[in-house]
Amino acid sequence: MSSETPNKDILNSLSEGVVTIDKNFKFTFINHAAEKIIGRTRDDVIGKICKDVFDSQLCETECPITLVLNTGNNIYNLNSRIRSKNGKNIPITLNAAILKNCSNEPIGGILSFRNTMVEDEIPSVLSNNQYYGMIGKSKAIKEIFDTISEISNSDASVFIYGETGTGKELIANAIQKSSQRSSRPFVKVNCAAIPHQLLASELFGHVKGSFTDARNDRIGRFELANLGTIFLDEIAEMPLQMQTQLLRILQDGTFERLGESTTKKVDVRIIAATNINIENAIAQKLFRSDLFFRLNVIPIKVPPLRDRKIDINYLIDYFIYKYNGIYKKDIKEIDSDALDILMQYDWPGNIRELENIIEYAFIRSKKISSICLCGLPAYLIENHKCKNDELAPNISELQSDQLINILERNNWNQSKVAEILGIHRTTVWRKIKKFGIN
Amino acid sequence: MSEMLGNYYFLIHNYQSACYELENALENDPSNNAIQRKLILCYIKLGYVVEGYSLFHKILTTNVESIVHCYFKENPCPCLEIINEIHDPNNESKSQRYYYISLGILWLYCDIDRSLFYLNKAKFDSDSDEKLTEIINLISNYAEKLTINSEK
Repeated sequence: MSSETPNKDILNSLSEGVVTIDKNFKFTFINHAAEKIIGRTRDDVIGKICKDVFDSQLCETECPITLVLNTGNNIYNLNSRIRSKNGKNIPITLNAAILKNCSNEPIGGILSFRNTMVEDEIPSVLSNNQYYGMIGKSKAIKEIFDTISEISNSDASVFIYGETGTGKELIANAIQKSSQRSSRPFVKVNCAAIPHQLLASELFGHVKGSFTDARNDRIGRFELANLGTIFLDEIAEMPLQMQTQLLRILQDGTFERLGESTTKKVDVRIIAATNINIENAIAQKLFRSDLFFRLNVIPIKVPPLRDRKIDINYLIDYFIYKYNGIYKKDIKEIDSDALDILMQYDWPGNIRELENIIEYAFIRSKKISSICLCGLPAYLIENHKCKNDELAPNISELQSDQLINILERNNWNQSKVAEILGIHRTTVWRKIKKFGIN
Repeated sequence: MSEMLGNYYFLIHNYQSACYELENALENDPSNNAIQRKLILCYIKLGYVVEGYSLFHKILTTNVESIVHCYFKENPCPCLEIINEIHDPNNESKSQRYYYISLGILWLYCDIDRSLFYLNKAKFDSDSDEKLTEIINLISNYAEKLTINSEK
């Protein structure tokens, strides 16, 4: 993709940074958002080698583009850091894919990323209700904040339990940021997202030839996290054989790379999380009890949102602040009718669902300065009549740039966008066709 | 896929992996000069001098300019770093053909006169190497042309 691409205007309209590189890893395109995030201009970047500009922790060990080349799978929502022109470390979430020619040969790569520092920043008005990015004032959440403070001098393993969407990763972030290892590497692994047959290689690394696709030596996540912290999300999805290897690391810090007999030793603090009932998994012999006891030194149970509804108000304030920044709006508050609905709801998807609903309301509330009842998804407002109905934009009023924005923010997953917009996936598809979005 | 992976490993100085990927890429695209130039450096760095020498001869007989006016003029060139690694001041007086050939190959990426200096040293030790004679002639003729052009 060259800088003269016809899609240049579309890419420049995105709030997410987008860069493309050629097969020599030199920049060929950078959009306006990426210029802003890294603090460099197009002229300053085009033709330069990406690792010299980004200077990311991943460049030398786990270049995302190279990972896609090696595995054939695109990368979504990988946390990393890049360096801005003034030397500042910027936390980002990135996606990576390969660009191919008509012969299916790789000719370069595309990276899209967004600055998560903006999202992590909490405005002063909300700062009294937050702790390392976690929002809340309920007794249950305050107890978690206290626990995290108390263990800040400890290297003990932590096991976080909680339903999906309750913010387990935020708690892991807070534990790492408040610990003595905060300046050391923090590596996150979603055990459910990596195929079982590749998990050992991901965690412990491999040497060339150790399996069919092992064409080069590669260090694993534990070596990458040495002296720091590793977060093993959805740990209950880990196969039993891997659990044995993990137990050994917990006991003496040793392991071997796949295909190598040399024993390596690391010093890594482990934070694990699961959303399933771990006692049941142990009873069904799907999870080793000895591993559980090793991990469960400091257990943290995250309450579901329905059990801490007092926090909904604070969370809404935070999401309004966040999406005002992202969608360049000036929404001040949520109407009392709409808030009542949210307070009565049971929140099976917890905070993630609440965030999706606020984002949905932002997209629909085109002309208004507050979120009203009719800005909420249809499944929440059945049998309710909105006083401001005439002010709320219809889905038919959805603009091309709004749709691109929400598609981009959801990795172009049309099903997810349909869910957020409260419409059928084929409607999203028709809108894409109608707007000529490529 | 191999070329792009090879380029990455080359950039991060993982020459063993770069060599593997670039060899695969060259099989699919045997006349690709960019791959050949990097592969020569990988071979020399890894001590596979015979392979590097053979590829060096091949690329020069096809297009002598492809190394002299090379990609590395505008890119991070690792050849000086490799020269520093293999250069042994105590070796200057000894007759080690492949040592001089390695230095001659590496210097051609940056300095044509130094390259000829080391290649001639190698020839002094092995006058019957016709391949080496051909290489020296090609580079010398090209250097002469460069001089004439610059005088004009």
